Amino acid sequence: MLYKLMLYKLLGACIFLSISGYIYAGSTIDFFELGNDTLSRSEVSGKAAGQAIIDANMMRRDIRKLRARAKKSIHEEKTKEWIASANELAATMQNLQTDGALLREKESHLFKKSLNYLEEGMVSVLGDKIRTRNPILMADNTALFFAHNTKFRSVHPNMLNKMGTAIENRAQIFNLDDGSKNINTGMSLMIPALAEQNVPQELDISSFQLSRERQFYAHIEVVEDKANHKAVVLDDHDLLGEGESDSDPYLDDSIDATQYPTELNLAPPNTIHSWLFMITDLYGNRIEYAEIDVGGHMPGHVHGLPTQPRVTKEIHPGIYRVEGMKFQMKGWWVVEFTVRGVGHKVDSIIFNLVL
Amino acid sequence: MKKKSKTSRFKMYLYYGQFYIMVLIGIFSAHKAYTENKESSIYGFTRADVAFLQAFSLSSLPKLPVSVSNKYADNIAAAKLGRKIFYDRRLSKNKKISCSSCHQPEKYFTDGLSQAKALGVGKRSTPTLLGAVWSPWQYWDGRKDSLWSQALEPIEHRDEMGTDRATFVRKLLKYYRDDYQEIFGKISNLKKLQRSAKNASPSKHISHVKLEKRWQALDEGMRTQINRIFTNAGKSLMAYQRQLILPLSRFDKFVDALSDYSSSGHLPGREAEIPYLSPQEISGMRLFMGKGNCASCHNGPFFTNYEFHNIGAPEFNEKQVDLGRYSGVQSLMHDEFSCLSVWSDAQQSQCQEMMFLKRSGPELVGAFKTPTLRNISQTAPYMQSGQFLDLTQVLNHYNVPVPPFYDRGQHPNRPHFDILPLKLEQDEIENILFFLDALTSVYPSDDFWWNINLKDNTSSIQGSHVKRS
Repeated sequence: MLYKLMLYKLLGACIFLSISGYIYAGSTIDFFELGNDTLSRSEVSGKAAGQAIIDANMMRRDIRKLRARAKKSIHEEKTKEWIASANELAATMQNLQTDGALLREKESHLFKKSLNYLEEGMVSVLGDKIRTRNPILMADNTALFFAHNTKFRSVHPNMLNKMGTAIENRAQIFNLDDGSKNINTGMSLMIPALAEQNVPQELDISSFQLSRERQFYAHIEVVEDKANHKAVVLDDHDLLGEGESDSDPYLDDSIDATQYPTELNLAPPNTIHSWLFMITDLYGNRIEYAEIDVGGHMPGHVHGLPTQPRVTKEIHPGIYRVEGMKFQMKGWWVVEFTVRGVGHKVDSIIFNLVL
Repeated sequence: MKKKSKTSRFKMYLYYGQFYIMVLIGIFSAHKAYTENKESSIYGFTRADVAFLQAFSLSSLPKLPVSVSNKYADNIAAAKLGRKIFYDRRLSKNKKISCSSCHQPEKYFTDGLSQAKALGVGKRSTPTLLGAVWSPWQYWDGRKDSLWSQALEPIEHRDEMGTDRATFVRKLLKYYRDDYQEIFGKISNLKKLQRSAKNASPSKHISHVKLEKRWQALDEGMRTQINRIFTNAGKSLMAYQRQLILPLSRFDKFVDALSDYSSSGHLPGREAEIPYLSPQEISGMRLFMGKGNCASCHNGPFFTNYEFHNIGAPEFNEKQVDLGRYSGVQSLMHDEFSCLSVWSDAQQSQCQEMMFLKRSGPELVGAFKTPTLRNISQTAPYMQSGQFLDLTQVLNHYNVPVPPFYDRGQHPNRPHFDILPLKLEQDEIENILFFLDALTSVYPSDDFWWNINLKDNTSSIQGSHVKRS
């Protein structure tokens, strides 16, 4: 009897150890796998959301038909029937719509989560090749506050009266009623050019981005130049965020620079500098020997980049040096990399920078 | 009704009269407060304002940019030689023209003409040299990427000095042999050079095609030597231009005084405390930074961002439109003396601006480099071909802009239009004009680099940024 008990204990211990051993063995989490998995789940959610909304719309048509019929009919009973079924359908439709909205939200949440996983994956694959995970920012240099007025390409003389002034346009953006109110608190000089470019609230300025066709995952960082670093003036106000989140960074949707305050990703103002562009596919394989074109523009302004940057060298597998980057003014810039990788479709990766 | 006694009527008047008096006092004090407020609001600068304005003052100029393509850029001896060359008329074809013929120091290195006039008449207006050292590109269309490269074009141009490079080199060595050799090294075959370097140049700006033939006839070594000496002359001229320091204008003194106030803790509230700018000029400054938004392109200590914009200035000749930066870029690609050439002292990889030059884009057509506004009231006429004769015309153009002329046959694309109407009142325009006048620096007649008549007494001019008041 004692032996049986011991045997059972031994068996239990063995099972316990093997399970825990399995868990330990499996704790080298494959972030790329997780990321892909979450990404496909988000895609599924997205499709389901789309379907739900399409069904809801179809249902709306049916409801309308039923109600129209009910209106026209003369038989009271039939009318009651149709109205009843119309109302039922309406309730279902509402549920469908709610479902659709929830699924959309889920899709967006899962998408962000997948991006976080992919970021961790890339960090684990590239290791110390990644110097910083922060979004690219620019030093706070007053002289670069300006954004010039290139909001119009070239207008027909008829358009002249319809063009707003700098102050009017600014008033429009900030819903100022008298147009002369100063939006820059703490300044008595009213400077229209400091008005922002309608940067969307939810703009993702991360230096890690997924490609449009979801084939590649890329990261950009400014190549630190000792000479440039000296010229960079740090403004604490810009970098130490107003609110620090205590939530789990993997589940946190917003990009918060306070997470990684030590290593900065700073572009020097109005100076030609270089970037490193690191690219892998969604399984963590580096993309080598790719043809990469660099382009960009400033949304709301009818001009592109002030220089013509290009990829000059692949310094490590999947890590490319991009030279000739220059930002002569602060604001919202969009930089787009068009990638032609062997065995992949032509794809593009878009980075939003709010400098 | 009881008959009212005199005292009670008086009391009645007193009683009701109080209200009238109070109303009058109220109106009077409100008016006084309003006018006082209006005056003091002009002077109501916050700390953020002061920090903003400091970026426009000459006192916040950084050190001169390092010139990778010119190793003699900070060489004082080269600068002194460049100074001599700059004013030497003997080096031109007709012996009457020097760089200073168009870049006149008393006129802040411009000439007051709509189109530059030397041997011939040019297409464009002479830009000033002041502040040019900070610009990555020279000329209105940016067709030269350094000051030394720019200096070489007028020497050979048929409409400017008209001297082919071989003749120029010969003359240079005739007049400045010792100075040159001290800086750039001894020339071993001087006699041979003096004999054979005559009337030869491959430039496309020269007056006669014979000059090209003679150039081809020279041997390789001779050509290289002539080019080398020619570029060294350009580099000396650049070294000279880097020594031109602009004294502080009234605006700079105002901003510096504001900064002193700001750092001491309190801010001025009255004209009497900082006398440099009048109330009208300060209103003009507020308009310049604010409603007029001029500072969006005219920013920095030299009131320019050195960028290329199309502001719709009327075409000088509609049959031959000026394509601006578009043609400038094409010239840059074929420039014989760019940073990428063998005559530059830089490694090709150091020539970042040239290597990543923006060569295409619709915004290049008809775009011209933003000129500096320093001394602008003294350097009429304005725009690339002197289309506007005074600043009032300029501001009226900005106030009610006309889009640029577009000719499908001549323009590669519809030109961009980079300005918005200002819709300013006449008195506001006047205030801006007053402000622009305050950007004038007094001509420093005692500065060795500005005044050719001054003798070289000092042997060790450091060339550092000396602030003058």
